[in-house]
Amino acid sequence: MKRSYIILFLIVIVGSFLRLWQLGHIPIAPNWDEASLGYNAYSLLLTHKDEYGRLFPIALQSFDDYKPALYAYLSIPFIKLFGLNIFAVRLASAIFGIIAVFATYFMTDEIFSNKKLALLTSFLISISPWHITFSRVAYEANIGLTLNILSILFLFKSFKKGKYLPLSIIFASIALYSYQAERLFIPLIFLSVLIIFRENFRKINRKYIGLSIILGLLISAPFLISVARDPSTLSRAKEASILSAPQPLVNLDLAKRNLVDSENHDVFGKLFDNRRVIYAKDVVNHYLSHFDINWLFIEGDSTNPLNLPLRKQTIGMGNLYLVELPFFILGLFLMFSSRFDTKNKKFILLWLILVPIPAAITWDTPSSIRTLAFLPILQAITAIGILGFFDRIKGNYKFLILTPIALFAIFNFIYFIDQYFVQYNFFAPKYWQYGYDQIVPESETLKSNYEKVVVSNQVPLDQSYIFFLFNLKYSPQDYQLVGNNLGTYGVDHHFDKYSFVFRNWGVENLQNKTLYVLNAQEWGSVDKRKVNLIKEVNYPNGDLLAVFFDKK
Amino acid sequence: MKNRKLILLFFIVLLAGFLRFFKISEIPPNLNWDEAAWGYNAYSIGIDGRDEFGKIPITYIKSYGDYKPPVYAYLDVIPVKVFGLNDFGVRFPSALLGTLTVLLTFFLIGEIFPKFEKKEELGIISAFFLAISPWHIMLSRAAFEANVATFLLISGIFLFLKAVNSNKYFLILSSISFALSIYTFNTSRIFAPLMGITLALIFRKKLLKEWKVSLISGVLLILILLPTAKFLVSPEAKIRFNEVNIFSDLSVIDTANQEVINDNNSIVSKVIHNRRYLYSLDFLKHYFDNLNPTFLFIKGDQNPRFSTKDLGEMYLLDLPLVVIGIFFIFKRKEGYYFILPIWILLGIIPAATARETPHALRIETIIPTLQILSAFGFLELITYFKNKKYIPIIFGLILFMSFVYFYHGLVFHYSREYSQEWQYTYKESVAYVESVKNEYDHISFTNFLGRPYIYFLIYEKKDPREFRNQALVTTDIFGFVNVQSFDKFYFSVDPNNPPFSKNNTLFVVDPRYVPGNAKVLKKFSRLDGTVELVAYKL
Repeated sequence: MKRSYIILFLIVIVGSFLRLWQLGHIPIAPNWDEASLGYNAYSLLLTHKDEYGRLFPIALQSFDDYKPALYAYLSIPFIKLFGLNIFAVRLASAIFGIIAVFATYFMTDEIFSNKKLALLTSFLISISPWHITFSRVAYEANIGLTLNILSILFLFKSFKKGKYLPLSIIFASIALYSYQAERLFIPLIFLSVLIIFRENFRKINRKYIGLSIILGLLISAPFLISVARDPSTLSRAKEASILSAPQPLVNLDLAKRNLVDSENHDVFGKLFDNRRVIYAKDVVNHYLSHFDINWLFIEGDSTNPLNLPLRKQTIGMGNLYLVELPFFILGLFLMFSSRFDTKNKKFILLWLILVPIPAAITWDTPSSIRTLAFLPILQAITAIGILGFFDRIKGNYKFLILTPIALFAIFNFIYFIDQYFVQYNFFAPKYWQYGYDQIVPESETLKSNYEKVVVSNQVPLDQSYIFFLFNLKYSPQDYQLVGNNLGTYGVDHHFDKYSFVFRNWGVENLQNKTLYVLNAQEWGSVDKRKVNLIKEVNYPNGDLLAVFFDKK
Repeated sequence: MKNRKLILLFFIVLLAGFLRFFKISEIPPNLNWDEAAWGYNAYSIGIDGRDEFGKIPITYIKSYGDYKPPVYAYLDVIPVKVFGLNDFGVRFPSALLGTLTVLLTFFLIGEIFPKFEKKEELGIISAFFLAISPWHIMLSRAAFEANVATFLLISGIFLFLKAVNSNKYFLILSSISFALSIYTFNTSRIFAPLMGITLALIFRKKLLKEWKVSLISGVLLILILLPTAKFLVSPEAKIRFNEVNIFSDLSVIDTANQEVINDNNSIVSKVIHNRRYLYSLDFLKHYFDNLNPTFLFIKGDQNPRFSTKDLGEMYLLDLPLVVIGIFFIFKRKEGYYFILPIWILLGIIPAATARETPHALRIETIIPTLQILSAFGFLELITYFKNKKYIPIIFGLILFMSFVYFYHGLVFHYSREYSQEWQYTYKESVAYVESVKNEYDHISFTNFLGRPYIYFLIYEKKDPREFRNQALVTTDIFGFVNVQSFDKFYFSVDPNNPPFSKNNTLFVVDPRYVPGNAKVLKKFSRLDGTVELVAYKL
C-alpha cells in the first residue's frame, strides 16, 4: 500500500517534469488559439468580458470558432500570478495533465482493482507522447480529458460509496464547457454506464441520485440554455461537420447515376444511389480511420502538434510508442478472454467504440485532438498486455527476449524526447506563428515616427491582431471600444495606430507616414523602388518571415 | 445430412461461377493492356510456342518490358484456342480458377481444422463469403495473374496440410503448386518461400519422419526454381524492383542528418537518427496501410481496376465478424488455427516493399484468410445467439443488402464510370480503323492512351511470325518496350507528324491535337461520353 504511493509519487514527478520543463519555450511560440485564450482570459480578468465585450461568456467567439470558455476561466489565476505570457497560458493545461497522470492511477485501480496495473497505466500516461504534447499547449481538449478521468473515477467509486456520485456528475457537467467533442462524448459514455451498471445504480442511496441530478442540471443549465437560444454555440461543430466538408470522400457523380437508374427503372438504384448513403459511408470512413495502426503507432496526424512539421514525411512519431503495439494487441486479447468482470469489459469496449464518434462527424480525420478521450484507456490495455507478457515469459531465456524489447522501448522514448525537446523548435516555428516576440516590440519602437502601422493578415501572419494584443498586453477596456464585432475571418482589425489587413500589395497604393509590416510573400509583390527597407525578421533557420518598410 | 451440405456447396460454387462469369466480356468493359498482352502472348504461344517477340518463355514474358511471370499465358493457350482471342477467352483462366478457389476454400477448412466438429459448417460459410466477396469477384473477372497465384498458393497450403493430416505424397504436389505460383505472380516470389519455410518449420518433426518424401519434394522444388533464380539476380529484375520499392527515397537521409546536427552530433543522436530505422518505419507504414480498416471495409482500393470504389475490399459487416473471428480462433485454439494469422502477416510483406499501398492486388495472397475469419466470427455468432435466431438473420439480411449494393454498382454503373481504366476507347477505334484500313497507305495512331499496338494484334488475330518480321521495336532507358510500327501502323506520341507522306494517311489522335485543316471522320469516346480519340484525314 505504502509502496505503491511512493511509486505513484515518483511517476507524478516524472510526469510533472516532462510537462513543466521549458513550458514557455517548447513549443517555440504561442499559436493563435493560445494567444486568443490568453488574451480573452486577460480580458475576463480585467473587465469580466471577452474581447468582443460579452459579459461572462460560456463560449468565446474568438476566430468565430466559439471556443468553449472553460480554459480561459481556468487561466485567469495563472495570468494574475505570472502576467500575460505564454507560460501562464499553458500552465492550466500542464497542471491538468499532471492531475490526469495522478487520477489515472486511481481510476484504473477502481475499475480493475489491480495496483500494479494502475501504476503501470499511470506511468504509461506520464511518458505518453500523445498526452505530453497536448499537456504542453493550451488545449481545451486536455482539460476535457482530465475531467473525463475524474468523473469516471468517482463514478466507479460511487458504486461502493454513493456519496461520490454527485462529485462525478459535477466533473462531467463541467466537462461540457471544456471542449466540443466532450459535449457528445460525455452524454454517450454516461448513457452507456447507466445501461451497463443499472444494477449498481439501484443500490445507490436515492438522496445522492437526486442531488446528482439537481447538480448536473444546474451546472449544465447555462450551456443548455445558450444552445437553445443561440445555436452558434455549436457553430464549431457545424463548421467542421462533414456536411460542410470541402469535398466528400466518395466523389461520385450521383446525378449521372440517378439518370441511368431512372432510365433502367431501377428500384435498387433509387435506394442506393443517393446522398444519404454517401454521407453515411463518409461518417463510417471517418470513424474507422481512428482504428488505423499507422495513425496510432507510426504516423499520428497533424492535429497532434508534434507532427505539424513532419506531416509530409513518413518519419516522426505516432500517438503511441511503436513498442506498445504488440502489448496493446495482447492486452486487448487478454482483457476480453480473462476473468475480468463482464460489465467492466463491456464498459471498456464501449469506451473504445464511443471515442471516435464526435470525430466521425467532422471531415478532418483521423484527429488526435478530437479523440483525446482514448486516453488513458489505450494505456490501460497496453499495461494489461505488458503484465500478461511478463507473467508468461519465464525461465532462463527470459533475458534474451526482454533485453531487445527493453532496448527498443528506451530507443522509442529517447527518440520522442529528442524529437520534441530538441528537433521540434528547429522544424516547427513556421507552424507556431513564430516571430511576434520580435515583430511586436520592433513595431512599438518604430510607430512613434508614423501615423499608421499596417500589419499583414495573411499566412504566416494571419490573425496577427491577436498576437499584437497578446504581446502588448493591450488594455482590454480600450480594445473592446474599438474592436469590431463582425468576427475575424476575412475581416480587417484596427486599434491604436495599428491596422491588420488583407490586401493585394501588388496593386494597392502605399501611403505616406505609414509603417508596413508584411510577410515574405507580400514583400515579394511590393515594388522595391518605391520603398525603404527598415528591418527584416527571420526564422531560426534563416528563412525570411517578415519585413518592415515604409514609402520613399 | 451429408448430402444436404454437398448440395449447398454445389450451389455456392455455382453462385461463385455465376458472379465471376456472367457478362464477363462487358464488365469490365474491355481488356486492359495487361490482359491484352496475356491474350496475345497466349495466342502466340499457341501458334509456335514462342511469345510475341519470338522468345520461348520460361521464367518471364518480356511483354512491355515489365517481365511478366509466364504461367498465365500458358494457362490461357487452350481457352484462347477454344473460345477465340477475345475478352472471354483471355479472362477465362482467372474466372475459372477464381470459381475453383471457392471450392478449394471449403476443403482447406477441413485441413486447417481437421478435428473441429463444425468444420463443414465453417467450410460452407467460408466458401459462401468468398463467393460473394467483392474483392475476389473483382479480381476474378479480369485476367489478373495474381488471381491464379492465389489459387496456386491456397492449393500449396491445402496440399501441404493434407500431407500432414493424411497422405504424405501430397507433399510433392504441394511443392509443385508453390513452385508454380512463383512463375505466376511477383509477390509469390516473396510469399511462397516465406510461407513454405514457415510451414516446414512448424511441421519439421513430421517432415523429418517422412524424410524420403520430404527430400523428393525439396529436390523437385529446387529443380523447378533453378531457372527463375537465375533470372532474379539479373539486371532486368533489378530495374523492375527499383521502380516500385520504397528504399530509394533520399530525403529521409537529409532530414536525419539535420537532426544529428541539431543534437550537436552526439553519439546517441547518430544511433536514433539512422536511415535503417527510418526505412524500417517506412516499411512498417506501408505494411500497416494494407490493414487500414477504411481500405478494407469502406473505401476499397483507390485503383478502380481492383475495386468498384463503392465499398471496401470486404463488406462493412465483415468488420465485426472478422474481429470476433480473430478473437475466437485464438480463444478456441482449434486445429492449426495459427496458420491463418501467420498467413496474413506474411502475405502482406511483399506489398509493403512497394510504394503504392494499400494494394488489393498485391495482398490478394491473403485471400481467403479474412473470409475464413469472418465466417468463424459468424459461426460464433450463430452459436452464441442459439435462442435468438433473429440476430444472425438480421446479420444475414444486412449482408445480402451489402452484396446487392456492390453488385448493383458493378453491373449498372462500374463499366460506364471507369471505362478509361480498361482502355475502352480502343474497342471502337481499333474496330473502325481495321474496317477502313485498306483505303489508306498509312495509319498514324497516337500513343497517348498507351500501347495501342497490342489491340490491333488482337483484333486482327495477327500471325505472330508475321508481326515479328514487320515490327519496329525500341527499348527506352527504363527498359520499357515500345512498338513503333508494324504493317501500315505507325504509333507515336506525335502522330500528327509522321516520318512519311501525310497524303492518304489515316490519323487517330487525342482530340486536343486535331489540326485545323483536318477532315474529322469519327470520334471515339469512353462509356461516360468523354471523347478520347478522333480519327481524321487531311
